[in-house]
Amino acid sequence: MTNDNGETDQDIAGDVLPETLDDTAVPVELGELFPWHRPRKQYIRHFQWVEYAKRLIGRLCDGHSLHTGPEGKNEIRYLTLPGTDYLDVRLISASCADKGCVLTSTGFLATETGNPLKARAEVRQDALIKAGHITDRSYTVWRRLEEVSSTASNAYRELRRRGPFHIVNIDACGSPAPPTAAHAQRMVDAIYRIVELQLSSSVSGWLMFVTVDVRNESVSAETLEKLTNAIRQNATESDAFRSGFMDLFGQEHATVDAAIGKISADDGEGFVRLFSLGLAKWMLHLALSKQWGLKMHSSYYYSTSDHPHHRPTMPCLAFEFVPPAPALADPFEVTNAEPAPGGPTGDFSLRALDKVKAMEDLDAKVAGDSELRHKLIDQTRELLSEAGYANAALAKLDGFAAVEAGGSSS
Amino acid sequence: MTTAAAQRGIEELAGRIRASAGTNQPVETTLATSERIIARVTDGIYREPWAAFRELIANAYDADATRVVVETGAPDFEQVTVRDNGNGMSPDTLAYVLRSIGGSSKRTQTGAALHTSAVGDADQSPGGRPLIGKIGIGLFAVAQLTQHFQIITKAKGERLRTSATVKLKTHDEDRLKDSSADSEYVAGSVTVTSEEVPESELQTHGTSVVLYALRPEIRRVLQSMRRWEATFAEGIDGKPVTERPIYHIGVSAGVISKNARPIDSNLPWAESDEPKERFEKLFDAAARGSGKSSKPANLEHFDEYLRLIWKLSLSLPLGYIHGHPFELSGDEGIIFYNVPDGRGQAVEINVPAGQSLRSNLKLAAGGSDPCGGFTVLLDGIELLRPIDLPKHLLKQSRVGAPVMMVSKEEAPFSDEVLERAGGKLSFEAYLYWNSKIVPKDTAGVLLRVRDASGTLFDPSFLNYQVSEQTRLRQITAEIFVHDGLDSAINIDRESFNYSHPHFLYIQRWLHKALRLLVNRLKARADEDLQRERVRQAAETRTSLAQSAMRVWSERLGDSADPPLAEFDNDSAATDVGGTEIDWHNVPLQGTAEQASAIAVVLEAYGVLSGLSARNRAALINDILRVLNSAS
Repeated sequence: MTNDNGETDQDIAGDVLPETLDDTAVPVELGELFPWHRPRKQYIRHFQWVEYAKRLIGRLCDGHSLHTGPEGKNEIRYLTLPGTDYLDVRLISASCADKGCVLTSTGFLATETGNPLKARAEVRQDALIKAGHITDRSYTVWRRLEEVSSTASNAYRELRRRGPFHIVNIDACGSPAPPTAAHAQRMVDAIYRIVELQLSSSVSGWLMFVTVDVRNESVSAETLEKLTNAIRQNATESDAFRSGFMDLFGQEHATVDAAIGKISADDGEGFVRLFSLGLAKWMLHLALSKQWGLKMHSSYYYSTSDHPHHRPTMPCLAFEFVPPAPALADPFEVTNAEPAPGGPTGDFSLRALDKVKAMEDLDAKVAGDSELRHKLIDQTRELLSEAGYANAALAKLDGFAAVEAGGSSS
Repeated sequence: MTTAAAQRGIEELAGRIRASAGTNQPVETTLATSERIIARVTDGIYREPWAAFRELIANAYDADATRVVVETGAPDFEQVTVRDNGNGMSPDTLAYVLRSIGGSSKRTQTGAALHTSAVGDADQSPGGRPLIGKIGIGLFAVAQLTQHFQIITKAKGERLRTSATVKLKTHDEDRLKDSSADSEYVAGSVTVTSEEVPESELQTHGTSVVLYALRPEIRRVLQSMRRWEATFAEGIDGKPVTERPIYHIGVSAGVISKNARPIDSNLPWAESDEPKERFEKLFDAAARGSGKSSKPANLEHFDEYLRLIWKLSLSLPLGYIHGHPFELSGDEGIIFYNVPDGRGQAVEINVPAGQSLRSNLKLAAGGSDPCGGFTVLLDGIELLRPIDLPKHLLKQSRVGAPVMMVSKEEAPFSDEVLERAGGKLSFEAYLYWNSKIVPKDTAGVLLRVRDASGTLFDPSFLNYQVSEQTRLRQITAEIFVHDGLDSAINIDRESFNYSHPHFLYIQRWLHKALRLLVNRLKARADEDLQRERVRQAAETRTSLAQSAMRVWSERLGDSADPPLAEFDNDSAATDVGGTEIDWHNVPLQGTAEQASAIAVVLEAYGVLSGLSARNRAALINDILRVLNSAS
């Protein structure tokens, strides 16, 4: 039977029932380790995220440009994909505390995670809040970050409500632009939306970390082509850039175009570096369109490939958006005063090229330095212990030491 | 009482009843209650979703929290979190809560042992707040919203952090039918996990409640779905059945119908506004109303979400948007009155300049919080009581200034009747009058028991039957009950037991106070009217005198001597320019000023001189009679 609205009795019956419960929100036990517990990831956390966060927080504190929260302290806003461990959040919070600031974290976690993992994440976030590591305005949005790409989405609404952010950390395990995805909700679309929002509402410099899975078969050729257009354009306009590019990518190639074509079809280190430079150049263009600058910082890569031959797949990139100069043009020369100093300086493109060239292979670095490896494992152990991991799980950390000593990609 | 013990008690009583047939002795016993009623409670007893939020936040207040953060997940409302920094629960307390639904440890001696009540005063929280909760069903208010929730809690100094995940069952009376009357009803299942915290987190404390998968119907209510659907439906006149809310949270794509486009939110605040600013802007939007004066005061220009925020703000123990009413002082333009114990009229209270009502009358309501304050943040909005008592009239009125009646009461129940009365009853109250109450929604009386309210503003003033409709729409009243009335609140906290002596006492007291207030308002308006009449009379006198004197000057020249020394209010002039008028033998037919003015005019033309003193008075009288009969 249907009513005037075309609604069947079955529709009504379906609507009045409580939600079905597939999995109960009982926090999962912390008995297993995951790839993000490996020493190389701790290296990124410690030497990239925390290191640059510390520098930025120091500058922001000195510049008195931070907002004071109800705690009476300067507030740093952090956008992240925290997983269920919130390890990055914990470390960045410590950097904030060192500078007398508080951290408000906004996390995005996909609902597909399942209720037991959600429940675990809720426990972890709650513990961080109660311990005062992050403010009680911290929140985890149970959505994929990619959803922010749509300005009509609630994910975007949450982003607007909680931003702008001082630090954005996109530590994703997937591809930024899968070849099969014709829609506009890819990670690269989310990056675009975040940068757009940040540039329209930030008043001070901010950091963006990007870790994504980049391999020939997982990145849309069309998107890569468009990313590399920014490189081509720069190479046409700047001899120094072209020369630097050829020096890095293709002395054996006749042209920039030929080099890009060859590397795009290839895989591994060159592919990762090319993607990294393309992303940097694209984001630099986005920044410049709003008179911002973009500094690339020390970046790395490692491999998650199970290919027998070591094949880098994960670039770990660090960018800093530099706010526009305060200088105000006076076209009629009314004032005798000089425009204020400051603002972006230097050639950001050449800097990006240098930083891409200097990207380090983390697998090799950790494998080659036993002392570093064990230090990273100790740090991870401490973090995981605080996060509530069982001793049995922590004992498995030593297994990572052996794996990474061999440079294995598992 | 255990099931077996209960059964033994029933059998024993039955035996005594049988035995009484032989002894002719009546059987005395006490009435006992069954726990079966609690089963009903676990499936939700509240009429609107906001009540469930209210109960969760009230729980945090009772746990001495100073800050509660609520995230509703608006506008989809898929998951809700209520996080507080209160005392948290040890495993013992949590176990008690889970196994004693409807048998709260609060307000009992057990409370002190479980740290839910103060040691030495079971009526207070460990931190010294008057406890709002009493039955132990507050947590199960969430059943209204979801059947699946997680409690994460830790007590200060406790080594364990605990997570309890609850899955409730849908209440089914048929299932109860099959069980024995005293059997334990299983409302749902709980999975509890606990883990040791690091040394650095030993002192952390608080409770968070995470509500998963809100019921579809509750989400539809919070999304104002019926309202939106009605805005798209056309009536027979071709116009929408309902107008769109002016301020709303918006609707996501595909919610109203499968392919429906999203509706962008229109909130009264900006994203960059601070939490307090947001609330102030919400208040302003409520005060502005729908822009249609004919619309009733039901905040219909708000969607359900904004109304939820509004209702929570009114009901919770929060600070006021512009300060507590008892912080008003004597020099702010408000006229204060008392509410006398006896039969007399209300008497004006002289509150010295710079001194607050609270200090002057030794009032307790709204005093400092023993825990250091209570802040509630809902989706980034700081909730405050949306009640503002302006210090000036919002519309011109004969009353002259806002009037506030303030009282501190203790019901005079003697020790002998205290048990019949249901215990002691004491309260403080104010009734504030202004020519206009803004927002309209705050006209009425609001009862706060232990600083919390579930009933919100009652525009009928507890069913006040006297026809004072205009005046009642101009009154905001709050009654802060310190002792008593608790037992008169029904289990859902949204209504009262109207036969309870405490409720009846307050109702009668309020009606008396309303009568006194209205009397004072009428008296003040009458006084103002009287003053206006006197002023008008004086103006008339002046005008009469001036007109007569102008005629005198025009006829006799500016330098002529004045005809009389002054215009007397009380007696007509007996000598005008040296001409006598005999008012002793001719009674005056009009006012003295009129008679004097006519005499001056007549004498200016020399009319009086030819008459006798008596006829002069008679002529003036006749003129007055003609003039007054004409008017």
